[in-house]
Amino acid sequence: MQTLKPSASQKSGRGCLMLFALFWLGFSLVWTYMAWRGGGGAMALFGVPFILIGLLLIVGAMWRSIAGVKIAPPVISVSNPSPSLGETIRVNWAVRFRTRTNLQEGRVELLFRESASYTQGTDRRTDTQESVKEFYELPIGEMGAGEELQGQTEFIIPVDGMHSFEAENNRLEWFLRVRLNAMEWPDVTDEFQLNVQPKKAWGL
Amino acid sequence: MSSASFEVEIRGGEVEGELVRFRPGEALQGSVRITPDEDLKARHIYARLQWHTEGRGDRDESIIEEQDLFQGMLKAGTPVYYRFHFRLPDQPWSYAGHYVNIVWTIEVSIDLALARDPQAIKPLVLTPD
Repeated sequence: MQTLKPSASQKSGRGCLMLFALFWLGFSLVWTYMAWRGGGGAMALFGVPFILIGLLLIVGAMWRSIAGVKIAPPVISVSNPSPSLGETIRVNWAVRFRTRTNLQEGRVELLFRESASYTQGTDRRTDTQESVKEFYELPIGEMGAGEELQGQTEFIIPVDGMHSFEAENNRLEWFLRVRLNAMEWPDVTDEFQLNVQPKKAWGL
Repeated sequence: MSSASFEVEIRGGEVEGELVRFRPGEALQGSVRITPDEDLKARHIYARLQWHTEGRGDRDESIIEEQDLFQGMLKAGTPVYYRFHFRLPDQPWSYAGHYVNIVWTIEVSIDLALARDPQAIKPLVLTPD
């Protein structure tokens, strides 16, 4: 069994959002301060909504970290991280709860995602289409501090599916995605990439 | 604008509708018959095996193999005939998705100096059983 690392794109996305949020908030704070010094309270009030947006952006970037206060990062290991189409992979999963948590929903999903990036004006956009091929429901309910859930399941990479593909603007990707929904707390969504080979389990 | 008529034929594979399907690793043989509308000085006549993406994203493309079929003069109205041969790679397979399509083609083009290159494109399908 090989332990998988969470997908780097998720981390880099949060990092970019944090940088943008810090820039936004810093600019808004300086502008509001200058307005207060120069024009008085009415002008400074105009800057307050922008400060609030900056704070919300920071909370969004830290969402996963906030979720991690209750639930440690899920651990996923697989029998083969580079499976062929039609191959059955064994998946070991483990979730540890740092504090008392009411887990309302938990799933391990086999996910296929198309990503298409394009330039629109001066913006760079990416559209995605996801398809959950199979999923496994984790036990739910009240979990104690320090409690760990673990188990094993199997997924079959669809034999009529498409292998992993990555080009500069277009990607076809396979993931194991863990989704944990705790009551009154941010969701945990971690992805672990599989590299599905362009061959079928019994040959090409 | 310089022009020529092309007739590209592909042999091997299996005919599926209007397309020919090949399996990864299979050999592809083909031929092209070119009839120029005017005298052309071809720096090259290329046959290329290539794929490109279509769909929502910006285009990605890759030339897998390029064969230089001819260099020299083509006379107006006189057809010329060339053969080409490619070995298809293992990937990427042809794909038609929601936002991403992967399309394989054979492209034959006449490389002209200071003019738009006349070309013909023949699509094919690369997918296993």
